[in-house]
Amino acid sequence: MKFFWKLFFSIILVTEFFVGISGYVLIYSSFKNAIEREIETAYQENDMLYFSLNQRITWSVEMSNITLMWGIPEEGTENYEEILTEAMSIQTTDSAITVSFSDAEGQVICGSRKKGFDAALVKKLGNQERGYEIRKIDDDYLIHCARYVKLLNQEYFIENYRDITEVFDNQEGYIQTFSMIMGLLFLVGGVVIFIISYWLVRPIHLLSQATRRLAEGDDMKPVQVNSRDEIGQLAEDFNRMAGRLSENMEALKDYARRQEMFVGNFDHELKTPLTSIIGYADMLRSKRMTEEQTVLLANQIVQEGKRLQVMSEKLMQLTVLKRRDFKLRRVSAKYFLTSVYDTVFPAMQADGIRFIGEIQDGKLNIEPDLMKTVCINLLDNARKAIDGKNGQVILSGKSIKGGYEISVSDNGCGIPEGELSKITEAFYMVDKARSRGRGGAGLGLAVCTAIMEVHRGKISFESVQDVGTCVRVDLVEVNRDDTDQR
Amino acid sequence: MNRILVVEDEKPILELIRMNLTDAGYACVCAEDGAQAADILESEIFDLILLDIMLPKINGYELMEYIRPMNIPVIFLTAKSEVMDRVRGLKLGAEDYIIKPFEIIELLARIETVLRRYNKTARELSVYDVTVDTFSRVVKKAGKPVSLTAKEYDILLLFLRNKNIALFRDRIYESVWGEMYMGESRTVDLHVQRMRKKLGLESKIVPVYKIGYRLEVDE
Repeated sequence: MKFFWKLFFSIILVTEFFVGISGYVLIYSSFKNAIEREIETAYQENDMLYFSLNQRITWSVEMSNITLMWGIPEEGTENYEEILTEAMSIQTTDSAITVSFSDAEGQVICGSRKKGFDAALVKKLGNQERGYEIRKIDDDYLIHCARYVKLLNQEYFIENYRDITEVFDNQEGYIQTFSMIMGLLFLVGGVVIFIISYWLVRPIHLLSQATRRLAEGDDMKPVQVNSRDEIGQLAEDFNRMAGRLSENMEALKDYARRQEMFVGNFDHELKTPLTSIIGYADMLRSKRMTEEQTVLLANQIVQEGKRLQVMSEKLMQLTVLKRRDFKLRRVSAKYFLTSVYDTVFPAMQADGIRFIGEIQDGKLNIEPDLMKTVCINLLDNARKAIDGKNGQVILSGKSIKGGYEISVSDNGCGIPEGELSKITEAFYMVDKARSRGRGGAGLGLAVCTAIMEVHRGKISFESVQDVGTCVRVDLVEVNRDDTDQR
Repeated sequence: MNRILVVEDEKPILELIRMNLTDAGYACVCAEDGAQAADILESEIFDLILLDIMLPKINGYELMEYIRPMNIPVIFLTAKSEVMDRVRGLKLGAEDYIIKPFEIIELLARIETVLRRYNKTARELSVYDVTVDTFSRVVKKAGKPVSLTAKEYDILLLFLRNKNIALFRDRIYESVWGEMYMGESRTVDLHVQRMRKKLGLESKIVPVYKIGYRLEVDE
């Protein structure tokens, strides 16, 4: 069963149950009160009868005593009965009240019982007791009331009746009205509860739909739940979770895409030199060649083999960088950059490039070998970007707020604007022919980026085509001397 | 002489193809990127184009769209070995594809096949005083017909199409018999020897030590 229907039915059931119970209790107690009142009235009537009878009898006895005194013969029990009958007739003449008078065995002495009543009540009662029974005669309800009396040393019961059909009719009327109210409550309440349930369950429904969408991997749209209750909270949490999830998924997809591209590029980069190597080797083994040709072909094979070697080394660096933990050390910026400068200087000089070092002192928190790789890679790129005369490369280092900045700028060919975002991708080369000609594998900047990640630093490129390129490496100041990285 | 345009951005590979195609007797024009290839195609006519896919400026697929109306057969050269890439190339109307790295003999065989499909190969092949009419499959030695078995004829064609190239026994076996060469077998030697004897080419088709045979032709 759906939660909606559970909610709906439980609310309906609870409402109906309690309204029903309380209605029943109300009607029943008012009924009981009414009956009790009627019984009390019946008793009172009985009492009144008794008292008036008693009075009458006393009076009669006195009269008869007087008569006796006057010599009227004693007539025994019959006489009393006569007196009773007389008294009774007085009592009943101008009233609709049925009264009967019976002895201890329930035998009616005078008056008459109402139709349908018998002596059972009287027989049940002992001395000094009074009692009642309620019977339904035809369509009428009657209280039959009996009272023990002792008159003239004889035991009698006075019985009287009271019609309480009205009480029962009222009771029935109440029940009918109540049933109607219950029915109405069921209908109206049903509609209201249906709406309330729907309103309560709707956010859950929305959430469930969203979850399903998410499970199917569709685009995640946030769930719109405006309430501030637990469900609203849940929806908010769900949205946050979904957001994170889709972010992660995007990241994963992106990672997978990059990985795929990497493998594809790697495949291409591997096959290109292999094609040459296999091709030239094939020529060497199957063709007759002059010595000069042989040397030329062999040289090609060596060149291409070297290219593979460079690539494998760089790849190795990349792989190692992604796995290993590196300990960063504090070194003097001046000392470090000067050693870099000295390493690269001969190559620059050989190419006839003016190589300028502008180095401020500072503290660097780096893995020196890795950072040296970055600097040499960048300087190498700068050198390769320059052709012709008047080449100039500047290696500068300066303290900036919260860290240290190393920058390498050249006045070489520059990088087209559209390519700037791609240059750190593995195997990406802006100018393939140029890069190959100078022994590039397209991995240098990928390695630099990976190293900067190890240092939690930032590498940024600025370039204007045909004017030059400036690469900035920002190292953040890390106060703790010995920080574990990655 | 068939004219072939080679479009390939890797200089060493371009040079490799050029050398071998020239040796095989084709006229070869080279282009290093798509744009250059398009420029050349505007002014010259070719029998076949060898086209690399990953090219700077205009890539192979794009260039293919440009070439298609010219009705010049194209063979793709590609390092991409994924099926989808190959299917894409073929759907664009390429005649064939060659996956890098490739062997020279394979390249020549595919070029030959495509040219034959377009009836652009020379009808007659010849070496010394032997001529072969590839249409009627008639082999003549000094003008007189020589009868060869089907296998001998195929082997002869293979040598004629790969002059000065050492043909390895496994290569010969695979291309003539169409099966994998399973090591030590004298079948190839037997057929080669009988064929060259029938044509009197004993001194021209020479054994290459431990490898196979080579048809030597002085250029």
